[in-house]
Amino acid sequence: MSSIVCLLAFLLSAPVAAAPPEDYSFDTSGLDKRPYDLSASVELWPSLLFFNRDSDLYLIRYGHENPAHTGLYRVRAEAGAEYQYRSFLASASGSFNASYQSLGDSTSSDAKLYEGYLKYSPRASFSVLAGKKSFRWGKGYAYNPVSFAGRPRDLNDIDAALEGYWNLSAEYIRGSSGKLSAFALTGMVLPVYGSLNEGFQRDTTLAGVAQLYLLFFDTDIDGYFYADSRNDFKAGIDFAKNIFPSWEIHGEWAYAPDSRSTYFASDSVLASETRSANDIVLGTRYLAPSNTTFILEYLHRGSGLTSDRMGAYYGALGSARASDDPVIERATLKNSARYYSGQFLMTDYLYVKASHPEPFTIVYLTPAVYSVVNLVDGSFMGGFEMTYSRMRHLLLTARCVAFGGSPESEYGVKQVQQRIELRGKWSF
Amino acid sequence: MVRSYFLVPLIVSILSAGLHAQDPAALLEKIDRNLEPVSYEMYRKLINVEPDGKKKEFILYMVRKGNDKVAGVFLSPPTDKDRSMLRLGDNMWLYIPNVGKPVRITSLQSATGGVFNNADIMRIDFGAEYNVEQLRDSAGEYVFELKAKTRSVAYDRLRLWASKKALLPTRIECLTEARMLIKTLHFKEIKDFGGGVVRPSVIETDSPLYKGYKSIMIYAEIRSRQLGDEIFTVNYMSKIKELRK
Repeated sequence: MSSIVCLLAFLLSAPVAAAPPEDYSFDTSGLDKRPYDLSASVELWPSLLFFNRDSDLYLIRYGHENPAHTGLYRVRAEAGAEYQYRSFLASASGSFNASYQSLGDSTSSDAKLYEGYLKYSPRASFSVLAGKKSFRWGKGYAYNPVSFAGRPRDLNDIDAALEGYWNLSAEYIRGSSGKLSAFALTGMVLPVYGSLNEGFQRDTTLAGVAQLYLLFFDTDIDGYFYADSRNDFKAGIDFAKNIFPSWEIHGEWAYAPDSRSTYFASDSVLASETRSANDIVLGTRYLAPSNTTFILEYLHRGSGLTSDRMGAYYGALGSARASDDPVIERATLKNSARYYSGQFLMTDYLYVKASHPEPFTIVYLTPAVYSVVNLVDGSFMGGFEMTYSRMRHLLLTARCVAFGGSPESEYGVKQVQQRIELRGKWSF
Repeated sequence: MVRSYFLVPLIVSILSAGLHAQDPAALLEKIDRNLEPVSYEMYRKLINVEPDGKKKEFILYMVRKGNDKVAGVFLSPPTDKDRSMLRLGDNMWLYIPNVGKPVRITSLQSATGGVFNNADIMRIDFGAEYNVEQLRDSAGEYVFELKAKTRSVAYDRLRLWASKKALLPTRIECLTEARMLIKTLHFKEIKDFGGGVVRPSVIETDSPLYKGYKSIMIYAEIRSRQLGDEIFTVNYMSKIKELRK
């Protein structure tokens, strides 16, 4: 009898004994700060592109071959290194990109130095920096007209690192506990000369840019100023505030008295115009009780192209296609890539995004849908993506992007109609 | 028998008088101070445990000043390295190095996934966010019924059990306005961190909304440190890691 009791006791206790005790150890010896810090990642990025065979851009480039799709296989390796010695910090980061496109059996590669600078911080409130540094300003998710010292983001690769500009800058920060709980001033000079900061401005110049940040009555407020040696001037302001914990509003406004745009005046003639322009972003972000986050933004580009000027562009593409002249076709494609490949060419857009983390309690999975609608011509770009961050080193992203609209519309003229991509980023 | 009619109310009234002699808000403040110094730096390990036992770990370096300023930076895993978070009162921001600018987030979102949300990671004093609605005595423990001072906090109500002897929490239930349970925090493994800080080194969390999952927060190297206000600004978020010694 006693042996039966012992057996029962053993069997009942077995499941409890099988559950390992929770490991609460936390060894911090490996966390000692080292003067240097290294990081790197490798990203594999295959994608399948389906062409828009009604698009003049497609017909000019691929009309004779008439392909329906192509595979594009990209790899991006990024590396960063920092070295801190007392109040000095040296930092460098960059990337190597290579791609292979099955159509045409073509390959390409490039290397970029994102950042490379030396910073001196004698105290927490003050620092000076010399070198190449990326500055990203503005409160908008899709578009930042106040980002006077930064490059525009790609909406379909919004977390990608961006190349900075060479500059000499200084930053002063002050915090307090009053209604004005933070104050920061950043000022910089950016020279544009030869290949130095090429693309920042079209001519040789010395630009001065300043950002003033305030956290005032729980509202982020920034003022931005730009002036250069050509007497060019820009100013901007932005704000962001939580009306309620789950409801945020934000806005940006940038004014440029001499905003320059280049456009097709006729089939093969380009013209430029300088005029004053107001660029505006008004947006909101709402976290619903269901844990879905919605973002809605209205974007206005005062410097954007009108319907007439976009019509001239479509006309130029049509004429180039009809000419069947390789010289005209190449010149038109080159000008199209240079002046018409930006993300917001026209004047008025709506950006919407909805993301829902951990659906059905699948932890680390975040699906999202987003769209940009051109309110002038009705064309749109829509995307669906899923990110999965379960692994310690690996971030997986699957994305499908589609462009829609008539062949003579901003998104309808694009040569790619759908794109499916998978991305695996291994960080170490 | 007749004597007991007098004796029981007498004992109850003596006990309750003793309980209410303690100012509930002052008691809660003592619990807050026993948990954390007013201004500190520390390391935290966050572990998300899935129903099948698989884990994902995060390590943060965190600093805090006063009752409304908290900042932290992720040291691992590599996919999250150098991300930083800042809390100033009811305002919270997340800085992602590649995105390059702080974006506002809310306390109910989770930067790590799993049961812990941003409010759990960037917690400030209970007394700063909650009023004591009721204080009860239960088997050697205080039971605080806490009600949020504003609607900007993550949980409308907390039910906090604290040991009377150590004045440290042992368990907290996070509740909605309608008293629906969102999650339970279990405080474990009391440890002497030095500098007079003796507190639970582990907080284990489970939630009926995440059945089978649990998240664990392990504290290490809690040290009192004087920090400037400028550290708790969005402009400093990319530099928080430089504070480590």
